Amino acid sequence: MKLVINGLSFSYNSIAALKDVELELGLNEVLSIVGPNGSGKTTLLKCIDRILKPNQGAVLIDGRDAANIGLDELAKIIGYVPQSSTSTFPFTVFDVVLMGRKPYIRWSVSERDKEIIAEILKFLGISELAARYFNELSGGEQQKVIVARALAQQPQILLLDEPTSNLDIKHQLEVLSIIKGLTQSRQLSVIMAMHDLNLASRFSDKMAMLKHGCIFAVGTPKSVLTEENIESVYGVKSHVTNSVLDRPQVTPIAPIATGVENSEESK
Amino acid sequence: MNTTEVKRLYTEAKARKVLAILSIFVVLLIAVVISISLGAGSPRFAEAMQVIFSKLFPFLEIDPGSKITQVIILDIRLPRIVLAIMAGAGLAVSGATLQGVLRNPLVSPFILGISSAAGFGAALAIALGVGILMPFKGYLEVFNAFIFSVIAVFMVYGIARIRGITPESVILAGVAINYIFSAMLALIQYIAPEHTAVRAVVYWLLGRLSNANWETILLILPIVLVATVLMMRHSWDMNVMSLGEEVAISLGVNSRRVLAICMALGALATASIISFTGVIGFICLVSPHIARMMIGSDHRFLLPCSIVLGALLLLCSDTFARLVIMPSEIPVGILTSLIGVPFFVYLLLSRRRLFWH
Amino acid sequence: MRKRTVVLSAIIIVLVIVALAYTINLYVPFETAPQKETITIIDNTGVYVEVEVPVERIISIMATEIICLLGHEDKIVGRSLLSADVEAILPPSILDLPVVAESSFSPNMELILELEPDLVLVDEGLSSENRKTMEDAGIPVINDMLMEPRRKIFIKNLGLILGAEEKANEFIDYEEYYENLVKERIENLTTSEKPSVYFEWYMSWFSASAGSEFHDMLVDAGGINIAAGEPVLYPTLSPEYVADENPDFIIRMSTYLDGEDLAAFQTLRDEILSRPALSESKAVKEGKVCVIKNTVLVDRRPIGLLYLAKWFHPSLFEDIDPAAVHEQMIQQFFGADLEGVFAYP
Repeated sequence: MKLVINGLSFSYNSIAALKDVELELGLNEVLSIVGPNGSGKTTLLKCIDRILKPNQGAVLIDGRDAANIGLDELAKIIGYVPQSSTSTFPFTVFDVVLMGRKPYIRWSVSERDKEIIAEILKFLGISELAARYFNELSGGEQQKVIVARALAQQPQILLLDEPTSNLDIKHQLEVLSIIKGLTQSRQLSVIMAMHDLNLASRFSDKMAMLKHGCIFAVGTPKSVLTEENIESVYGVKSHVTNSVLDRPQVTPIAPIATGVENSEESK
Repeated sequence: MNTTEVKRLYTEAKARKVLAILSIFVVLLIAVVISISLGAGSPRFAEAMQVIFSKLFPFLEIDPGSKITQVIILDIRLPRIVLAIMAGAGLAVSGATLQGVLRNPLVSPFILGISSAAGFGAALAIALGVGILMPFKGYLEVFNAFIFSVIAVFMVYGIARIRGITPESVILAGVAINYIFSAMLALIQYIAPEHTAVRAVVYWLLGRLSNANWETILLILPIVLVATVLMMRHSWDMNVMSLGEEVAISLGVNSRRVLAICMALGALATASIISFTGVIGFICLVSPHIARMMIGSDHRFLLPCSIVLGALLLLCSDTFARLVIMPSEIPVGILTSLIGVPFFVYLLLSRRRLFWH
Repeated sequence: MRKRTVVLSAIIIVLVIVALAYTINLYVPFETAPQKETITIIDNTGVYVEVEVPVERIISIMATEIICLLGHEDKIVGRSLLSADVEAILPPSILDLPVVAESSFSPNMELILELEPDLVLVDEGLSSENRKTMEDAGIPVINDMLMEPRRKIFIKNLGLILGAEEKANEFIDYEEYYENLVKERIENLTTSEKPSVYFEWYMSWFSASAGSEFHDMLVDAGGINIAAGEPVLYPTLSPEYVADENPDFIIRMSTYLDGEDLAAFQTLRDEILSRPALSESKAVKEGKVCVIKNTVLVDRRPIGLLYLAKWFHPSLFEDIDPAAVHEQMIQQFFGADLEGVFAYP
């Protein structure tokens, strides 16, 4: 599925969160959205999945405007993994993942549904947790369950909002490797909002950097993660090197004292 | 654990849930048999069975007993039992539904203000003889109570819409409407032209099943039945909505629309019941809670479980209410409120897994 | 899902039809005996009630004492709870009768039906559903009240049904005699000759305005109700207002809740005398504070009238002793001795 975002703008009341965003997501591609807090990463993801309705612009999926696609059908195309998850009522892990099948279920759970869920749980290595209650799991385990739920939707596009913020190093690498692997083995394209630049650099094919709701830079991680860009957008002096994995590695040095205006002028 | 074991776990859990519901249903049937065998009049189990079987299987030519026995069993006890089951079931499923769509295990349909609105409507009819529709005499307070309940729901919907239909806005609007109608109800009681009228209003508010007859049941039954079926159809939506509004949308559920529809259905079922019986509280709160403890939060099972539990609870309460101080009765609304107290104390003190965060 | 809805709907429709079918079968009316004479009266709800006479088994959820008065207490098979004052003047056999209802609000339908009555007397508390259940079982139900303006009509109707018209008229005439007596004697009084009265009942400062039966009593006894013009039927007056009005009399109604012995009446009276707001009023200063029981004020209205009239206009009613009249009335109509306190002082 090819995703194209045209001139997307969104405002919370009168505060503009996204301004005229243009972006393209190719097949089997991992695109990470980076930017400081409040730059509009989460808002962008929500606009793509119709959780928020953009004021202007369109999200085109294979040429079709997402606004004209029914919520039910959209749920079979796009899966959304939010930053944090709560459940008002206690559900088991199996039940939570089962909810990902909602777009396909009328009332009864079919053998196929159960098969799909069991497979996904095994794939993510959380089969042992199937009968446990979701609210009793650790942060990392919960995150895997939520990813499992999104995968149960059998989407072609996966949106992840800060998928690694609650995880330790091992789980971070595990989850991101799985996701990267999925884009290669299945027909999956991924957009993830990340605040960890190095993880984003390592696992994405393409990167878009947001500043105040606008696209500041887009391209390969190498082209986007430059010391000038980081200084401009994050207001931080940094040192960018090429890591052992042949990806840009960012080492932050110090925040710039009197803010961004200087660097803006010099640009 | 391999995939086969995982799947088996789920299938077994489901079977256990179905078994639990069926067990409660069996207990309910036993309760019906016991209830129909007890009363202030003299017919007991044998006489009751005689009457019922002679009606169910006329070809067997069983002697039904004296005319009075038949009237007592068929026109007094049986309608009352049927009404208790219907009202208990309807209140319970409305409570479970509203808890599901408002994502709050402490709410009941009464949070929409319909109890005060119904009381106000009834008081208007009883104390001032004023009604919105004037159908047949004697049903004035019933229709008034129902119409004002409907008005209350529209008002809640209208107010909540201003900020968008979310659980918070609905609950707040409901609280406001509740206060408005409570105040107006108090005002009517104050200016009522006769003191019997005031007493009648108080009596109406208490909630009782003593006026059950077949006509009442035929009026309530279709509404409660249809509303219940429609609410149960939204079970999956309620499951998904408990993950939050955003995730619900991403899964294809228009949670605002579902909230509005289910709110209306729950209110409709509740209003149609309490317009006849007065305010019977706590069944709608307690039944879903106990059901959740027994059977989990999957609304496909939670709603049916609440239904049988609610029916059982109200039937037992009502039977107790009409037997304990014979020949007088305790209005069942008082009894159900009393049940609520130890129940919530238990919840407070319980160290078991909390049912919500 | 659609198939399931269809199946469910079908089941529901079938259930409803079955239920309907049974309902039609289920009403079981009493067999109608060979035709007896019927008397038709109109009750308080405007319903034409057909009663087959002679009546043999009455359930009196109201007006038990009237039936006894008319001499037909042997016909009563079930009753409601009665106040102590009423129980005191009725024959002991009445007290042994089963109580089938606390009041018209909560009749025990099973007990009532088992007693197989041929007449049931209730007041407006009876729900229409319960009335229908009884009428469907072939039992005539009269819904009426003993207060004006229905009192005389209802007693006459009862007399007609029981074949005790003479006794009914005797009682009505007796009450009318005293009502007219008071009426005539206060007829020519001017407004200035009528005392202003603060009437209180139920709790402190709770009064009654024009349109209430209490107001009518005060006026008929030749008094002026200071709360007459209040917008609410049973207003709670502000103490300032009452103090300002400076009433000549204070009348307080008591019920069995306040206590039935002399000490209870005295306590009530003392409490009023000691209220700061009323301390400067004419009534308190001259000791014109009277306590009267609801039994005589409401149920036995003519007696209440006499008490009030005598308090308000002692000179006009020197020859009347309300307590003696009360005693005589109970003796004449119930054959019982009157006991207890009903008014103080």
